[in-house]
Amino acid sequence: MLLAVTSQNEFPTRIVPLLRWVGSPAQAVERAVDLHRQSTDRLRLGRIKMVADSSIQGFSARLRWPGYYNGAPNGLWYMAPEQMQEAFTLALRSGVMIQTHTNGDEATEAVLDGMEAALRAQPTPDHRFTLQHCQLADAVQFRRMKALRLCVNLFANHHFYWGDEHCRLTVGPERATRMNACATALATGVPFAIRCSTTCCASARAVVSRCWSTTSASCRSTTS
Amino acid sequence: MLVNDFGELSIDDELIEARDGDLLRLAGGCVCCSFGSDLMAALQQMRDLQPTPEHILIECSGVANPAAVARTLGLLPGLALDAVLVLADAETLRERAADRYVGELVLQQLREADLIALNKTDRAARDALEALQDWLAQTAPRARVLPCCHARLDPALLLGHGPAAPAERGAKDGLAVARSGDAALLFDSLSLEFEHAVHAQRLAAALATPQSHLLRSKALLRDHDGSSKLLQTVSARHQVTASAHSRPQVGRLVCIMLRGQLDAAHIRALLHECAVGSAVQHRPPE
Repeated sequence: MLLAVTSQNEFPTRIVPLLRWVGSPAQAVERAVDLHRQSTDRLRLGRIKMVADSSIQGFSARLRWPGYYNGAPNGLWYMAPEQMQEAFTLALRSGVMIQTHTNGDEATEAVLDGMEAALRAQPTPDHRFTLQHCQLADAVQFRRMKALRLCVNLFANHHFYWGDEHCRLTVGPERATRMNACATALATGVPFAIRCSTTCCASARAVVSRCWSTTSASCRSTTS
Repeated sequence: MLVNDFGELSIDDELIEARDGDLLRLAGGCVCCSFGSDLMAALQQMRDLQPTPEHILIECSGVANPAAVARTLGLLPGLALDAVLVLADAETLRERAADRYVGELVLQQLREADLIALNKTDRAARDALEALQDWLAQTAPRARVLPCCHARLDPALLLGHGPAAPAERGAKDGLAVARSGDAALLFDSLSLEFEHAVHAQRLAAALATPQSHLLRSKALLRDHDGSSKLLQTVSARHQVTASAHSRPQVGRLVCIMLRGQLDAAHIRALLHECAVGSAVQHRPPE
């Protein structure tokens, strides 16, 4: 369906969808390679979306010490770290790009470790593997991303919708105020984009709030 | 069997990604967290199948929290948890339990398991295996450990027998002859019949203690109030439920344990202590 729609002359946009990760690393990479062969100028297929953990506001992201501010147990692994490393290695070998969702900083650390090992086994220039959300990455982790030539997209407008809860419940004020560190990415030289997942932030105000949140670190309680 | 793959959330119509005989592949995220509603929907569909499945096996990923999945089951009428089974690799278990990322999760899985299938025992040295089993006894005291190779285990150990069969006339101790062949499949079973009523909850708790060495037990019996009850234990987990059978005149208890761990005298003593009108009361160990 995507091929049929995007091949029409009047279709004005280039679409880059990500293949949902299902099955073993070998199966997912094989499927991505097969899809890549079907790509056109306006439909770029063959990239994979992988999920390392879940969400901070759902208490299901994987956090480093001291964990959740309200004492909730640590979150969930959606993929075993060793399986992620295997996936990265296979994907690098096959020329398949992976974007990995990581919300918590422990999940980010595991992805960085996996990428480091995978790149040692399969050195690949300009791979452009990307970390998604990366909400709690600190300065050290951004330096690691730079060294590994990773890209990142940061969930800046999460602050507007969830900032109060992050201060009060999930990660506490010290970590909440440094979440989604766009300035750190810029200063470190990590290529980044600003993302908006409308599944957890209202879509109607998403564009405006994204810009505002990125530049002013505001949340609902400070703008009402 | 439900097999859970990770991925994006699927809408209801696409929940069942594939059907192959008795296998349903569940598309969606982790069943033990925010996508629990997908698991509930899948279980409801399976529960309502005709004929109704006797047993649903949910295969979680290696980094899942199976006990959390099990707690979800309690929300659905018509389904009951049988057991949480963890498959552990004897070669790498200690290393994984100390891993900086998944170590705590591995320990949690072990602690909350009813049965631990300790696999690849053929690849571990004898003394290392003994040390590992001692470690497991301390780390996961409520679980029963089933050593195996190539994950070969008798389904009776994993899934239990079917519903308690009518008493077999002439059965004595009912001790099954252990099957010859692969040592991983050998187990002992004990079948007892009795005519007295029993304090069912007390007996269930007693059979579930480590001292009984039971992997599983099941009984159809008359409770102290005269009602018909079904008793089931899996390792330390035990439950007593109302039985649809008419009040049995003869109760029957079937027990399964690893080969060499049968203590028929102990089981008989527990049955005697929990009998209605018994002067000897069973006291669980402190």
